[in-house]
Amino acid sequence: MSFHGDHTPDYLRGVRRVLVGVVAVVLVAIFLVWRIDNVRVEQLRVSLIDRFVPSFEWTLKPLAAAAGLVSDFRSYARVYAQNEELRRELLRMQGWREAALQLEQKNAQLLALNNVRLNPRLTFVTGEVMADSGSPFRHSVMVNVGRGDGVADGAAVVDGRGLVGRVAGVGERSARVILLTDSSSRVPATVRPSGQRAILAGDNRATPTLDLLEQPDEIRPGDRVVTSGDGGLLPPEILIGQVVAGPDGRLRVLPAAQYRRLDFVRVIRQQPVAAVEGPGGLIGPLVDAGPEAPAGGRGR
Amino acid sequence: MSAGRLAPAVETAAVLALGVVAMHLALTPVARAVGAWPGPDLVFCLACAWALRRPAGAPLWAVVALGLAADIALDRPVGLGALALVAATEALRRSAASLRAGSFLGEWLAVAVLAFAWALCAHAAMQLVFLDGPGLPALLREAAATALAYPFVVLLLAWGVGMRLRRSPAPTLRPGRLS
Repeated sequence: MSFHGDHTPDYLRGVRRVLVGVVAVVLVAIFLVWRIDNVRVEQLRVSLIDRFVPSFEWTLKPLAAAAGLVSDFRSYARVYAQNEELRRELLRMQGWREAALQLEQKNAQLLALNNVRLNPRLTFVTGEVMADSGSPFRHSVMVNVGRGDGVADGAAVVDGRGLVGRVAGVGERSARVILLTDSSSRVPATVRPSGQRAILAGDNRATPTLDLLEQPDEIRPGDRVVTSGDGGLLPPEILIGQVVAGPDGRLRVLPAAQYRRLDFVRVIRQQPVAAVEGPGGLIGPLVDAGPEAPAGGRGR
Repeated sequence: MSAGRLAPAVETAAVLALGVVAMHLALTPVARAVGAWPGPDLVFCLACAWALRRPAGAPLWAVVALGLAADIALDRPVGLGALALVAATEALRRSAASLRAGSFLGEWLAVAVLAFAWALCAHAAMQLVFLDGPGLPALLREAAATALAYPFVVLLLAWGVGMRLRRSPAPTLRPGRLS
């Protein structure tokens, strides 16, 4: 075994050197192909991961459970303080609950008055986080719902509190979710109460930045940030988080979603918006559709 | 005879299996804070340790396969990690004799230097193709984590490899034990 390494003939060593060179060139070529034809290679990656990672779920789960156990055990130390805090919070929440109930009743009355048809497009499917990206290159997680569950590319993903990120890559049984903190994440957002539009851009830090603001001086730390729904990919009015002022003076957003304990997430299934295809019959035929079109167009 | 011929193949299978285990450790969704220290590149540690100790057990194709699999599974730029793995193991193979003669400190230093060199090269490569990478600080932190994890990986492997070393002279002892 060891004599193989020590007594290699010179010509074999040369052959090996050539072989290593060829392999290096091939790998560089693969990297360039990945860079140039990213979509296809990423599809390949997603299908491979979709094929293999779910079959290892039984190994991932106990490890994650063990890690969770350790952190749970640590939190036992401050159970008492937590309990007190929860009691105080509960008192405050009871006040809010009363307010919410009143508002709900009022809302129901107003809706009945207006005969509003609510948007039925939002349904969701809840999935479990299987794996995280495992490298500093991407801030993403894998969830165990995929195309079979109606998950589409670009769908919004929320946890109980706020927006977690967006689906980027769907397999049959799994999907990858790019977190808001990833450097390739861009989400159109609205800042409340000033109502300004901005782009929430991740930069691999815990707090993504607010870009393309028109008047940054109107925005105060603590303002709520919600999705604006621009572009039609994400539904509007999903809570993203709160504005904080970064140490470098840039406006950043502290996500409301709890990235530290991301166990279950909801993937929002958004049915495509019904498009208005053409003018109604009242308006009359299209003029530029050719000489025979008016008769046919009116017949419908 | 046949056992001696089989051993490298068995070792290669072992190294691939351990690589899969390392990838799964990296994929485990433990409570990891965003922006905190990234985990070590365990596949890198494994390949370096194995290429130094049992060069025959980690042939080039196995290293390439491990690197590509890790690139795909860990959502890294495809091909870049495999290239780093091949470069690192080849560099270690070339200086294996002198490293084996020296103490473990020298070996550790060599692997750490390779890990940091890989971080710098990866950053440079990504800049070169206009790719939004994780940034140099994150890559350097990962390299530091990898360098710190290396002794533990070697300890774990030495435990396994040591068992196998004790078993390998068994054929010469067996006749004596049988009689």
